Amino acid sequence: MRTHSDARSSLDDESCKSYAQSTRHKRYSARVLGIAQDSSPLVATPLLVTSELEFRRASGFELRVRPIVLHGGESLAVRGASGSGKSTLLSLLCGELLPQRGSIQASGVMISTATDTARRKHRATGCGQVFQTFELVDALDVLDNVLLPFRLHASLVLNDAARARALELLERVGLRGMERRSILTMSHGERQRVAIARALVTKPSLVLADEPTGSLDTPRKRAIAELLLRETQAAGAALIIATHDQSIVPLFGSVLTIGELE
Amino acid sequence: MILRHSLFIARTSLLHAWKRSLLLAFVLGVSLGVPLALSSLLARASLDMTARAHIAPLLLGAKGSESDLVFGALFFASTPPNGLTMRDLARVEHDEMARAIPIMLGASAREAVVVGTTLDYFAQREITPQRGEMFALIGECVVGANVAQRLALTDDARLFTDAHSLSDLAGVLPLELTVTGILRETGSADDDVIFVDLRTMWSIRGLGHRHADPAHPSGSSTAAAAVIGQDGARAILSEALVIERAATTAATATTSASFHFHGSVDDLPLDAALVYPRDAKSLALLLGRFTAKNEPLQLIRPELFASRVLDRIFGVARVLGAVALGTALLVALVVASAFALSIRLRADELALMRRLGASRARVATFIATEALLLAMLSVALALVVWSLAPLASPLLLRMVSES
Repeated sequence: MRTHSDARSSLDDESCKSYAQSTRHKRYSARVLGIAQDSSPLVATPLLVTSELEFRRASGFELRVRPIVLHGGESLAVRGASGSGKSTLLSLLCGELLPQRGSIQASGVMISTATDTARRKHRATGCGQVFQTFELVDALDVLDNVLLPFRLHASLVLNDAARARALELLERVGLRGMERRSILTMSHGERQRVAIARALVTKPSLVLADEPTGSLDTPRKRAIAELLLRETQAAGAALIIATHDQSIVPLFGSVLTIGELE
Repeated sequence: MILRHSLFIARTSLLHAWKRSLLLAFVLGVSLGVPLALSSLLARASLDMTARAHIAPLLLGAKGSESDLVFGALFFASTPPNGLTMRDLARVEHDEMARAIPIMLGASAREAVVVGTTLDYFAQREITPQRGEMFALIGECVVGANVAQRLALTDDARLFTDAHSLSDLAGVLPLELTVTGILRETGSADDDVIFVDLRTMWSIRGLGHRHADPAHPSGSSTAAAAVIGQDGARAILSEALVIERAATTAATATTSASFHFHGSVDDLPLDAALVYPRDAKSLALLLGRFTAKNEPLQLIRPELFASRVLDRIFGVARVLGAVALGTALLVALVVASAFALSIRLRADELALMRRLGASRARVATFIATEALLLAMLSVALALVVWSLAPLASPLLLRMVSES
């Protein structure tokens, strides 16, 4: 179940504002508003709610993060130096790691106390992930890479609807007609578009992107960040992006700087 | 559902690295196939050898290589020692202790061995023509099932014997043979040869001939022109031979009758004789007759020869088999570690699957399916090698006969 945000929430307004800063993307803000208005429920339920999180490794690494509340369509940029724990935070949010203290609730599921099986289901169905190095499977073509999540978890069924959704997403990210291309023949920018389509194909309520622009050249960075924002908002999902790239931070609705609490 | 996805992932991964997959499957398949092939080849060769050795309790031939006699008389695959004549048959048929069936080799037609014998051979072997009938006249032949198929012969077809023969460097004359029948398949060496009457064989070998018939002046039929030969200058021909260019064919009764052999038929050569003693006592007595030191002939029991040969082959094969099996196991280990390495190289991909929510069991199933597909491909290759191996049985027997 996904809950769409209220378009009038302050965070969303902010994100629209940042969009509007770029004249090129004025038309996106209109679309985002349109969709949000179309599907806005009467009461907005946050998709992600965390209390103050604490995570420590035996190596002495320590991460503390202030509470996060995100509604559908909202976006959050996580900033921080290398090694500050941005990736660790994303791992906590998708249930790969468990915090020592604090709670994570995603789409009504208490991830921080859930069983391994429940957390795997959350990763498979509840959150889409985008990585710096794309993490696509070389042996699979573009369409099968997008459809990969359906082959990984029993609760996802690879049917015609899934294929239609994958094709629609590929069209939206500008890869129409490339469904049967080999991943190896694609540019970095194209690969990240495939990865974005894969992250959204299961209609997750939360999209986690770990340095999604880290492997791209500067002109591509902004385009991919905007694409990610546009598509997660169109899907009504909440987006959290970990980045150390200051140039794209203003695109996101809110900013969380890791390490600032210390 | 998971099976479908496993098959998909495994197949795509194998196809993606198809060169590696094929190499692994090939290496494993062949190394597994070799021990299998060896055992099936030996089983088949042993069966062929034993079955064939039981055709005749005794073999009569000139003194010399026992193996040449057995492989020549029973498999038509080598030339028995020289020196046996028609007269010698009397020595075993004397007192009606045994029946002897003569065998004469040394010619071929379109590369198929031509065997001269008598109709007794077919009665004894219980071989009947599947189509047509047995030869009756000089120049007629019946062909084994495999030869008929290979040369696309039907009854009434004609074919020339080959002018050159490895066993007779002086050359043999091409003679036109008329196919009167196709033998039914026996699964033995009989399927791979052409049978003619002994007299036809002698004619091919230049030991008998016919003269131009004054009643039928020479015509100009080219078919008849080659009936006996084109080269009258060959030393092997008797001076009485006149190249016949009559319009008649070899298969007519009149020309058959005009064939004749100079000197006594008793002096004409044979390569071997299959000997069928009346009873066990006769067999023992007959064997005793050929034990003298200056005896120019040998009478042997092919059955005993076959078991000696097989013992030797199996002795060698056991060693080879053990080596092949050991090698196959080593190769399987190497292939397994190469596969494991290829999986380790894909650690990122497998880690991604886990991050996207796949259970450990599902990822393991993907890998197991891939290994299984590769193993199945290898086994399929091994089975092909295995199933093809018995085809080499005649080759193995020939190699043994030549060693």
